[in-house]
Amino acid sequence: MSGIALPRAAALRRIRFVIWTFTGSASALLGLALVASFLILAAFGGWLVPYPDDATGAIHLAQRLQPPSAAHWFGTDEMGDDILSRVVLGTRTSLWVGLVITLVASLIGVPLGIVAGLLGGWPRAVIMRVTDVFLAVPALVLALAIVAALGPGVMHAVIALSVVWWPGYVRLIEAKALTLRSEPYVEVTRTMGAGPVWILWRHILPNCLSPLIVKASMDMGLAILAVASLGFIGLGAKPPAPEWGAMVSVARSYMPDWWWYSFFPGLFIFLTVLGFSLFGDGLRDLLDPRSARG
Amino acid sequence: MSVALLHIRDFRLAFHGYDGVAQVLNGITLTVEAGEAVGIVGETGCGKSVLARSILRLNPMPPARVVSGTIRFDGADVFAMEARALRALRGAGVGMVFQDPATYLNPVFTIASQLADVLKAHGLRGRTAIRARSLELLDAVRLPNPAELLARYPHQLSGGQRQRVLIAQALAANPRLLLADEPTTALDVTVQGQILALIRDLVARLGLTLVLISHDLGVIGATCRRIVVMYAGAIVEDAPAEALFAAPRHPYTRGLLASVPDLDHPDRLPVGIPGSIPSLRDPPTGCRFHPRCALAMPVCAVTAPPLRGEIHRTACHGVAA
Amino acid sequence: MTPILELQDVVCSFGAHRAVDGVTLALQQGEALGLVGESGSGKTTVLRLLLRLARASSGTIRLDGTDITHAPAPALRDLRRRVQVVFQNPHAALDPRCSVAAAMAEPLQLMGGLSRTAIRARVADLLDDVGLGPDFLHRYPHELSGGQKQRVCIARALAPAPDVLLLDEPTSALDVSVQAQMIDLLIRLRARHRLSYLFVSHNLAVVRLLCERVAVMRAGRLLEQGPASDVFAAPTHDYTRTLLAAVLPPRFTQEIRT
Repeated sequence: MSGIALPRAAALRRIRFVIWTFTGSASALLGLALVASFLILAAFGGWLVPYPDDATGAIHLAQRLQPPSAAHWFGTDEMGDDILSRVVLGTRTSLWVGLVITLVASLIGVPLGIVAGLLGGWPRAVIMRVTDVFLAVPALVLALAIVAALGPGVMHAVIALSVVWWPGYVRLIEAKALTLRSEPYVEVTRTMGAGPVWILWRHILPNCLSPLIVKASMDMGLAILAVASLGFIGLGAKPPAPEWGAMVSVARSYMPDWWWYSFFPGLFIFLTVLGFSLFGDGLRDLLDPRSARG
Repeated sequence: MSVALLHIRDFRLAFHGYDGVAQVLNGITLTVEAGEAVGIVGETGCGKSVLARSILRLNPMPPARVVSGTIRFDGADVFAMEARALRALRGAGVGMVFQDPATYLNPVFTIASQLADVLKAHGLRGRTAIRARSLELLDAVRLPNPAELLARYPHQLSGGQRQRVLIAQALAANPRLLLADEPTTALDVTVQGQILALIRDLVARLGLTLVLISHDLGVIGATCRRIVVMYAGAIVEDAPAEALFAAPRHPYTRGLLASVPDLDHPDRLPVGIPGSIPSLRDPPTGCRFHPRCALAMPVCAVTAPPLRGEIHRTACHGVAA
Repeated sequence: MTPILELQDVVCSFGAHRAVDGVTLALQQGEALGLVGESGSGKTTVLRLLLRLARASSGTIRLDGTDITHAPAPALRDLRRRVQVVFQNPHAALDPRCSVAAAMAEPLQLMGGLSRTAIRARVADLLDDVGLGPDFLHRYPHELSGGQKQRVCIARALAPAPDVLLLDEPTSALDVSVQAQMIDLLIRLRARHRLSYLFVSHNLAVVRLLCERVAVMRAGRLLEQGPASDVFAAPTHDYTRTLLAAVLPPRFTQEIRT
C-alpha cells in the first residue's frame, strides 16, 4: 500500500458511508431530496417556470382564480397570476432569508458560546443569563415587537428574526465547548504549552462544526417558517412579492372555494420545513466521526 | 436422553453495515451441561460479548442477522421463541450480569424499587412478599444491612456494592444459568477478588451453571473449570482449565498466555502476538489466525480447521486431534 | 543529584475532599517509578499536579530543582517541553478531526523554531520509532486500532524530546497481546531516549516489569515506597499486601471442590 492510495481508500469509504446513511434511512433520503429540489428551484426557478413575469405582479384579470389546469398546474390567483410560477420563484426569497437568519444567528451565538464555555467564571454567568432572558421570551413574539417598531417589510423581518435567533447557538456551543475543554486530547495539548487561542482554533472549533451544521440545517426550515409567519400576519414581505407567507395571507380570504390559492404556498412551506428538518437529522448521523468508524 | 442446558450449534451471526457484512460469529458450536462453570476468553472483537447476548437474543436485529445455526436453551430454540417464552428465558432461565455496574442501575430509583421491578416482572405479587424476597436476595449476595440498603439510591453505593445488587437482580427469578459478561472489569482489583469469590460461592450454593466472559485469563482461571478461547468470531480451543493453562495447544492460546505479565515471574517479559486483530468485514481466508501465526502452513490459508477433539477441542491444522 | 521531578508535602483538595494528602515523592533522573493504587487513591491527581493541570493547595512541586508550584504559564516552557504525558484511553487522547501527521506535528509547532520540512522529517522518524510506517501519516484516529492509537500518543509525547514521560495507565485500555507489545516498546524507548518514567497504574504485574521503584498510594496518602523488588517481595504495609494478594495470576487458581 502506498502513501497515496490510503487517503483515496479512506475517501471511498467515506463516500460509501454517506450513501449508506442516506439510503439506509428513508427519512434522511426524503430530506435530502426535498432540500435538493428546493435548492434547484431556487437556483433555476426563473428558467423553469412557465410565466416568470407573474412573480413580479403582472395582471391578467381575464384569468383570475382559475382552478389547476394544464396551463396553470397550481391554478391562478386573484390577479390572474400563475401560482406555480409565484410559488417556485418564492423559493429564492425563502432561501436567502433562511441563510441570512441562520448565518447572523450563528455569527452572534458561536463566539458568545465559545467565550462562555471556555472562560467560565463571570463572563459565562453574564452571557448565559442574558441568553436565558432571550430564551424565556418566545422568539416570534419578540421578533414581532421589533418588526412593529421598524415597520413591516421582509428585510425588517429578517433583521428582527436574526436578532432573536442566536440564543440557541450560545446554548449549543457553550455545552459543546464545556465538554471539549476537559477532553483528554485538549488536556494533552495544554500540557504541550498550547494557549487558549491555539486550542480554540485547532480543537474546539473544528469539533463544534458538525453540531453547528446540523443545527443550522434544521434552523433553515424554522427560519423560513418564521418569515412566512410574519408575512402571514402582514409584517413580512408584502404582495405582490412572491413570498409564501404573504401569499397564504391573501389567499385566506378566498378559502375554501378557491382552495388551491392557499394550498400550494402552504404545501411548499410544509415541504421545505420538513425537508430541512429531516436533512438535519441525516446530517447528524453522518457528521459524528465515531459513527464513521470502519 | 438428557438435554444439554445450553446447546449452540454452528451458530453464525452477521452485522450489516455500510462497509458490507461483518461475520461476527462464524460457526460457534458449544455445549454447556448443567452444573458446569465455563469461561469464555478472548480479546476485543472476538465475538464473546455478542455470543453472550445472542444466548438471550439481545442483539438488535437488524443490524444483526442470524445466518445459520441454532442456540437451544434446555432444548428450546431461542430464536424461534415467542415473546412470552423469551421473557421467561431472560431472568428465569438465564440471569445476566453486565460489565459496568454504574450504568445498569437507574440512578433515579431506589434499590428496593429496582429489585421490585424485576420480581414483579417475574410474577411475584404482594408488598411483603416482594420485600422479603428482596432482603433474601441482598443477603444471598452478602450485602450487609440489606434493610437499610433497600432505601438507597445507586450513587450512594460503591462499585462493588452495585455489582452485588446487579447479581441479586440476575438471581431474582431463580435462573438456572448465570451469564456474566466481564463482571469485574470496571472494578478495583481488591473488589474484583470479592465479587469472583461471591460468584463461585453462589454457583456452588445454588447449583447454578456459570458462563463467565472475560478478557482476563486470571479472572477465568479463578472462577471456571472449563475454558473456551475465541478469536475473530470462532472458537479456537475449548479445554478443562487446568489442561488449558498447563498445555495450551492452539498457537493463539499460547500467544495469549505468553502475553500476560506474571507477577510471580518478573524476569519473564510478556511476548505478545505480532500483528493485530483482523477486520471481520474482510477476514483472512482459511484459519482466521493464520496471518499472525508463526506455525502457519499452506493449508491454513485455504481451509478453516474444524474444532476437533473430545474433552480438549482445538481448531488448528497443526494440532493432531 | 537533584531529582528531575519532586513533590514535597503536597496537598490538593477539591472542596472538603483531599485528593492528595501530604505526598512527598521524587523521580530521579533516568529511573522508572511506579505509582500504584486503586481508584480514588489520588495517583492520577499526582500526575495532574505534575503537569500543572491541577493546582496544589499547599506544598511544593519542583522541576529539576526549580519551584513550579505557582509559576505563571509563560514560566512553564521548560516543563511543557521536558515533561510529556500519555493518557490511559488512547481513543480519547487523539482529536478525532486531526490526522496522525497533524496530531504529531502539534507539539513541534508549539515549540516553534522548526521549519515545515524539519517537522515532517521528525514526525516520520518518531512514527518509525514506535513501529508505525509512513502510511499511517494520513490516517485518522477512527481508522486505527487501540494499540496503534496508543503508539501515536507515545510518538507525540516523544516529539519535543522530553526527559520525562508521565504514563497514566497506558496499557490498561488495550488487549493483552497488544499490551505486551506496548510494554516492550516502552522498555526500548526508555533506553534509547534516556527517559525517566512515572508510571501510574493499578496493574502490579506491569509495574513490576517496567519500574525499578514503586510507591503505593491509598486515599490520597503515600503508604510506602522503595525498590520494586523489596516492596513486592516484602511489603511493609498491610494494604500493599492486600493489593498483591488480589492479583490473579494467569493460572487455574480455583480450589478444587467436590
